[in-house]
This record gives sequence, C-alpha cells and structure tokens, in this order.
Amino acid sequence: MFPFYLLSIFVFDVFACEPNEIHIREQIISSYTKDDGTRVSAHLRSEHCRLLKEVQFFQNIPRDESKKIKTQFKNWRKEDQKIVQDILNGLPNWLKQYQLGELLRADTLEANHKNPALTIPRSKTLVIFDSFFKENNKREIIIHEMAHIAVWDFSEIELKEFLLLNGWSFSANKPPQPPKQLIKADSQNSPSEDFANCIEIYYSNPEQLKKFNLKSYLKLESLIMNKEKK
Amino acid sequence: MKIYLVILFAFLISCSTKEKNLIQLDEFDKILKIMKTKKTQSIYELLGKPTKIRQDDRDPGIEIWEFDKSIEIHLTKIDKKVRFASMFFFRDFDNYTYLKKRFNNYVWIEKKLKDHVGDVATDMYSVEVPDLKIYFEYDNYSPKRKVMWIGFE
Repeated sequence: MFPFYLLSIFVFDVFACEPNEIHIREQIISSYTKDDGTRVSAHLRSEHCRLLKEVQFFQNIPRDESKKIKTQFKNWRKEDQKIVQDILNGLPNWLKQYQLGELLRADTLEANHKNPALTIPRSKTLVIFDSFFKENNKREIIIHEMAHIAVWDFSEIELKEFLLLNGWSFSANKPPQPPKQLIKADSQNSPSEDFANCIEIYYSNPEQLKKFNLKSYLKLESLIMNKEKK
Repeated sequence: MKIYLVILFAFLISCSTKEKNLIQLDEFDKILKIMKTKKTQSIYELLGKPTKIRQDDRDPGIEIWEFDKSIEIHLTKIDKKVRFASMFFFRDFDNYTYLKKRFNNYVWIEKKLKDHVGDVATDMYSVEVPDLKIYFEYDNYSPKRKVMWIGFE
C-alpha cells in the first residue's frame, strides 16, 4: 500500500496545460542515438504539456490521428484561409487563446456529407469541409468546434455543476444519461456535445438559452466570465 | 543501557505512527468500503455528512447524497439502503493511466464502444473492473482521457 501512495503523489502531478499547449501522454521512448553520437537508452517519458508552434497552423497534409478521418484532404486556398483566419481572430477572448495543433481542409466527411467542420480535441485539430463555406453561421460553427476543445479544461466542480443543471444524470453500469429536454437533438450524444451546443447558442441566441434553462444559462455565463478574467 | 532501550522503543513507536498517518484511504477506498456494507453508518464514518441531499429526477424512490460535489451516493428513500455510488472524475492528468495503475491488481475488462458520427471525432471505450463492480467510459481522442462519471455498484 505505502509505495503505491508515494508513487501516486509523485507520478500523477497536475498537468493543467495552457490553451497554446498540447497534452502528451506517458510513453515508452525506444533507445536512440543522437546526432553527436550520444546513445540514449529506452526510458519512460512522463506525461507533460508541449507548446504548440505557429508553423503547424494551416496544413495541407494530416498527421497521426487526423489521417484516420474518412475524407479527402486538400490544399488550402488563400481565400478560404482568410475566411477562417478572420473568424478565429474575432472569437471571444477565452476561445481565441486556444492554439490549434492542425487546421486542415477537406471535401466532405464520408459518414456525414452535411458536416461543415470536425474537431479532434486530443490533438487540437480542426478540419474544415467544403460545406462550411456555404453556411451563413460560420462563426457559430467555429465557436462550437472550439468549445469541444475547451470543455476539457474546465474544473471538475464547474463542469459537473453545469452538466447537472443541464439535466445530465448517471446510473451504474450505463453511459451518462442525457437530459429529458435537449437544446439540440445531438446534445444527447455526449456531455461534450451538449456543452458545445450551449456555448454556440450562448453567443448566437442567448435569449433561447435563457428561456430553455435559466439556471444552466447563468452557470455557463459565470464559467465564461471566469475564463475571460484569466 | 535501559535509557537506550527506552529511546529506541519511543523511536519505533513514532515511526509506526508516522507510517499509519501516511497510509490514508483515498476516495476510491472509501467508496468501495461503503459499497461493501451498503449502510448509512459507513457513509457517515468515511465521508461524513452529505453537503446536499436531492431527489433523483428519474426515480422518485431514490435520493442522492452529495459529498464535496464529486461523490454521490444513491439510496432508497424509505429504508436508506445504498443502491450505487458515483464519482465525477475529471482530473488534470491522464485519467485513464491513473485508473489503470490504481486498479492494476484487478481484472480490467475494456470494450470498444460505437462512436457517434458527429462534428467531433471520438474513440469511445467502456471499462469494467468486475471484482470491484466499477464501470466507466472514456474517449481516447480526448486530451487527458477524462472519464467524467465512475459508477460503483
């Protein structure tokens, strides 16, 4: 028992990564030789936060997990880049702080041709599809996607309070149960989807959110205000 | 000589007390102990008084005792029998790795779940630790594989 607790104190440190950082999981590094001939033996690299570099921004070729998305990736056109960049520049401050790991361009998502954008929160990847450029609510779409990344950075207490107020519940041996009344049909998919929908509507139609659930609206407002102050 | 023995004895006692203080129960130990007895007495002994008691929206026969926001115990309203417990686990480190190491000595059953085809890529799994009757789900595409709710039966 004793060694485990000692271990847990030192190994499981807190990694509250900044919005311009990415979380890297614990991994085994194989032995390798440096350019200067130094040999490094295999070792366990602890989890850590890594700073995202701006050069990784608008990309034409996907990396790692993004390659698994069933779509046809394509090169960015300058005019498309400008549309997206202008929206990113005009995001609310707390969302604007989020640096993306990858910003990719693709034609359509194989499983859902109408999808205008897609996020992979782990790698902070945002994929913009052709249909995005036909939509009138481009800003809301990007706010929604950024909320999918930001949701993982709220505190345990803050997020739980918001989800309970929104009607989420939990029973043993079952996935989390969605609220009986949903702000959008796909809110039932996951707490993250519900949160992203609420953030989107908070900026596009706050009155709708207030009428839907005043307590959850006020909680969301306080969460956003706290983030804006930081 | 006697005085040396007394000092040695006192030193050993102090070491053993220090060790006892270090071996404290964590929140998982406490919930698992409660789920073994399923009695309110163990709830009071291990978690103290609930910070809030609320009605279960989905089952009028159940009330939910909240403890410091992250732990909840579901009890029958009439005879106060513990039905199940949950913990909202959303910590700032790789939650999956932590839990895997925490329950290293038990059978760990992991199943791939169906992913939703939405605007966020997911890679969902369920985890069961049958010996302890623990259940949770996680998304491998989320940054720290934060699990949200953990259920204890």
